[in-house]
Amino acid sequence: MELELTQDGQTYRICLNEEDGRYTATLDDETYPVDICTIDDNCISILIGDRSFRVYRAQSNGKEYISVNGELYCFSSPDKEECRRSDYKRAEKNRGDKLNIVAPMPGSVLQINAKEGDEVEEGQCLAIVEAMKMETGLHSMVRGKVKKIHSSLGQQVDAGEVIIELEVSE
Amino acid sequence: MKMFKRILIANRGEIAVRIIRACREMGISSIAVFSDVDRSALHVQMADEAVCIGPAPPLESYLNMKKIMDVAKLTSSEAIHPGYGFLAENFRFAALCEKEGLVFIGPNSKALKLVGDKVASRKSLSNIGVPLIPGMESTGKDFKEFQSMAEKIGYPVMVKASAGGGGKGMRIVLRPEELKGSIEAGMREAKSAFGDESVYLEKCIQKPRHIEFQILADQSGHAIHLFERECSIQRRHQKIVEETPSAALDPDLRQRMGKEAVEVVQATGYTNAGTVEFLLDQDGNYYFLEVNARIQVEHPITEMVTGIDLVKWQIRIALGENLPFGQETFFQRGHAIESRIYAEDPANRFLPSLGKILFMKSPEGPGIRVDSGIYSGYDVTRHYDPILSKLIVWGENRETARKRMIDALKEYVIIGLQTTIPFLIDVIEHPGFKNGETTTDFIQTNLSEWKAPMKRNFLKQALIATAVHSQKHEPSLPESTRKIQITPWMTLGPWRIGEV
Repeated sequence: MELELTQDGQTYRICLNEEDGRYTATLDDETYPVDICTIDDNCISILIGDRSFRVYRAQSNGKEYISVNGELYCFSSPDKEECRRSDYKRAEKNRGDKLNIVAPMPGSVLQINAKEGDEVEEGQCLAIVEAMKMETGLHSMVRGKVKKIHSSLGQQVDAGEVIIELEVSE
Repeated sequence: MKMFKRILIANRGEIAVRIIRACREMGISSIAVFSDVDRSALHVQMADEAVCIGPAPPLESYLNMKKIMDVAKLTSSEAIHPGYGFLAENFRFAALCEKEGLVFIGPNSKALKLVGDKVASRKSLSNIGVPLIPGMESTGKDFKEFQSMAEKIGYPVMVKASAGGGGKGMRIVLRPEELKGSIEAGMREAKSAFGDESVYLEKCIQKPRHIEFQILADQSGHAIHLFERECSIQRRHQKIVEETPSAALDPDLRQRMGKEAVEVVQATGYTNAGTVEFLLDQDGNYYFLEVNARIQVEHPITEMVTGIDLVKWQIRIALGENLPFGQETFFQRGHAIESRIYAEDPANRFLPSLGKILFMKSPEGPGIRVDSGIYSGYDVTRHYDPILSKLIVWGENRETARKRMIDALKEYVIIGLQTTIPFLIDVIEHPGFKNGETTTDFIQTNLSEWKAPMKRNFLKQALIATAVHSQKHEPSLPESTRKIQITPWMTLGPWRIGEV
């Protein structure tokens, strides 16, 4: 069978064929025999030649998480990746826009230090988000004016969610 | 000697589990308490009995003294072990236990009040000649007082919580214009972490090492130290790697600091296990920081090199047992290192990483100890401290322990959320760490721009494993993944939007 997987925008193709319990893997036009032993749902033992590897895996939301020798991988299928990217894109777009004050992590809004229409200075702390007893101050990256407050005190927010929207003052 | 029959553990996570283990070995029934969201937590599963004490917010559960006291009585508990954090250093809670006829497993409330009030303890310790960092003798009444003190001792200054510990409520202030905001933030954090908002200022010592001494003091006034722990590797003023012995101490300095630490606890009438913290500067001068009146997160490394069980001794001392040994009984055998595994994303300013642990497997082998509060399937909630577990290794010398730690970290599998593991590997492998050049600015200096490693040494194996599983459990990945369809996404390569 042939499988196509993406990670961080990179696409990989792997072809794994089984015949009488013997496997051959094809990767980057290179084909070699592999010996595979499934230990349990989360653990697979792989022998490539005589070299032994123990790979751990788990799956969630259509993504395949792999841990091998301290390295972590997360694969998804290309179309899933596209969906994930559009979420990511939205969060990244929010983050990238200096006029948006966004939550850097999931948490609750502890403090909002401005109201709509307020003039704000660059570097001014506009809101505080809290999670796991840690407070993070959110500072304005521009000099401007508060256009809209999107959150209320105590509200739960996701990473990348816009809390305050600014506009550049004339 | 008689022993407690029933102990209530007023905590959660790995430390509650650690205390449960001590209770089991001593034949004591353990009673866990838990909040709504912790019904499935490991300490609840492992305790002999478990009682729900309220909703998730700490003030309504793990910090709710009345509720915990009620449960203690209801379950006929004779003693309460507070662990670390929450009520561990709350003298009002210790006093409440004393009043209600329960044993608080920790210092007596009077000593706890004294050492817990960092300002008052500084005052009383300066009288017996313990070296102190220049700073305020009391918490400020108004901002002006803070401001003039900061001018007097000179920037950078440190804002610290009077009731503090663990970096909560602590802030470095580099410039006068940051002072007000830092004091306010420190007060808020102190209030939410300890229920007391008092903060004070002190001079910030540059490039220090954090050296602390473990103490045991019984109720007859006999006290010993169990040597130092170096805890210089910190992020956001919170320790993430600790080791003992410290590469910076020679036998003479170790002996002087240990003696000073014992004097500190004797001068304050302190009982039970405690830690005396010092800052050690580049020239070998040390300054008393504070007494941590509790079992410390990093206590296992002391247990590894001395062979003593600190939690059991906490329980015995609380019962009134005297220490049957003197200082000369103890020596440091080999070297121990602890790495703290936090549910945090080290590539994103160590912000909390929440979610379900899809799969987990702890390292095993000679000289390895894991104190853990997690398991496969455990859901990490946003309500509490992000510590998941502690990995502790022992080796006959520092380099053996260091290599063992690297291997053990690589063997530690946690799938489903971001943890500090990949970051810790880079810390322990860093040449600066290898050479023992550990100061509290280590991470800021060496690893502040840390990104998730782009090593792809096992890509082949990872892909094969995915294919194997996908084949066995069709259709575990969607059908479309098995067909080759060229979409623009495949040809694009890595990219980001909005990068500055």
